[in-house]
Amino acid sequence: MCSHFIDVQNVTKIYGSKGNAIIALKDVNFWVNKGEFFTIIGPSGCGKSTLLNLIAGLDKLSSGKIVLDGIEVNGPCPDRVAVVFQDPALYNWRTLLSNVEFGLEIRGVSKRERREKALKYIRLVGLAGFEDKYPIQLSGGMKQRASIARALCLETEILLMDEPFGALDEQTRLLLGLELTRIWEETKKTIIFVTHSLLEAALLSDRILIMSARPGRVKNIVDVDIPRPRDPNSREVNSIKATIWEEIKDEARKMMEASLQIVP
Amino acid sequence: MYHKTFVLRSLILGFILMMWEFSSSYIPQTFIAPPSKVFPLLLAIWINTDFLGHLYVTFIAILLTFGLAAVSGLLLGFALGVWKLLRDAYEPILSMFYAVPTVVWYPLLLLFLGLDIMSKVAFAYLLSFFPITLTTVSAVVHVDKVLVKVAQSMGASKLTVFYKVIIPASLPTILSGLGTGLALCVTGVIVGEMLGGIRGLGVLIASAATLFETAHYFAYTIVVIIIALVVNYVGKLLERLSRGV
Repeated sequence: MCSHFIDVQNVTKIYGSKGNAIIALKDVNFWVNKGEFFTIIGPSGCGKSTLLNLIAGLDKLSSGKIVLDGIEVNGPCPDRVAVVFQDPALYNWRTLLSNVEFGLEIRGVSKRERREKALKYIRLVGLAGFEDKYPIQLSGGMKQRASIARALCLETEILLMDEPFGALDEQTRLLLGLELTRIWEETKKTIIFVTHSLLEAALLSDRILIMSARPGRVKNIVDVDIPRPRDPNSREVNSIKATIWEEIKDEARKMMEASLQIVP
Repeated sequence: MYHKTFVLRSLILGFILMMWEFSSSYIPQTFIAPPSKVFPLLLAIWINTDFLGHLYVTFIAILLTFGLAAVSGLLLGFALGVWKLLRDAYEPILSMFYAVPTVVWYPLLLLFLGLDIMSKVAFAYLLSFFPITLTTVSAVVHVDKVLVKVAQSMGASKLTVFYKVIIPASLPTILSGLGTGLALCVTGVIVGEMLGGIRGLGVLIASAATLFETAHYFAYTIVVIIIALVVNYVGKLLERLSRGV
């Protein structure tokens, strides 16, 4: 059939067994172009992180399939996909440099080469000079930069980001978001970015997928044709935000009401 | 700040010593030996007595016990930590044994292993093995899942995850468990010797107490305190080092 760079076809994910099964995702279909900045947004608990885990091969599909550049996903594929999690999850017993090298170390790359690459990406994320620091000596924003450098260091074509700035304060997250755009432009990666922030979605993305309340489905996909660099306060960005909000508010309300229901 | 703490601490210690010396002039010396008698004795026991020989027996028993308890505790702890089914089945049994006061086994151990060093090793082993194992299990189980997930997303095999993530992440807690284990080894060996033995520091303490050699009793007790302080310090140091602080 059609051969998109990333192809998600009829993906369904069910947790638990028959008695108390939870349908997290139901018949999710979408595709992502090569080099695209693709954002998935949805109310909390809609299954967007689940979807990202499935694309990363960290979880098994219940049905459907996910194809990355012609090859079906079946377990983690670290030579093609790198993942950044909401928790920077750095290894406290390793220096920043050694944390960034970690993926290449697992891959068995020689010490010299991985050092060279790690230094390059540490510079790219703006952490030059902090190579020998341990994670506890870094701020939240710096940790997340480090975790992005660690993912970039794998030099994969695809970067999956699961609410990477979710735990940061608003100003840091805005600045890091803008920097991510720069990194994305420099490295020409395909990024799938999960967020619940309307502004982040409008500011960063080429296209935005809006997910419904549980079970998660594709509600709509919005094109964002605003030239970069984008201004967070511009009319265009605000109008995209308004569009997403229109689509998402009922879903968010549904999730909120569902979570308020008390089972007798 | 640190300086002031030190000065105050010295003052407190000095006060305790003074009270000790002072009180011994009112209480019969059969019950309390004053520092002025205990400290000279502390130096004298090394010369022309078999004190060193007794200390050596105790030392060997502690080392042997700790070696056995650490190796078996770590192995079982890691196995239970990684293998959920085994953990669910076996951990309650382990905790149950841990809850039994170990000293109730001691007469049995004496009966089987005799008055010599092995009954002390077995007793101290029972004391220290459980906390080492249970701390290791809990350390492994509580390794942050996302740390593991990161390694998996980078293609790490189960074995790689184990020795590059699980072990270093759980190391500080495990070392603190080993510190506790070592302290319990010391306790176990000395208590064991006191309750029944031929040679060892505990035997000396027990016999000095029975014979009302109060000054000797105090001197030996101070040796035990010093050993305990050293052990405690080593444990803390290891833990601090592993946390990289």
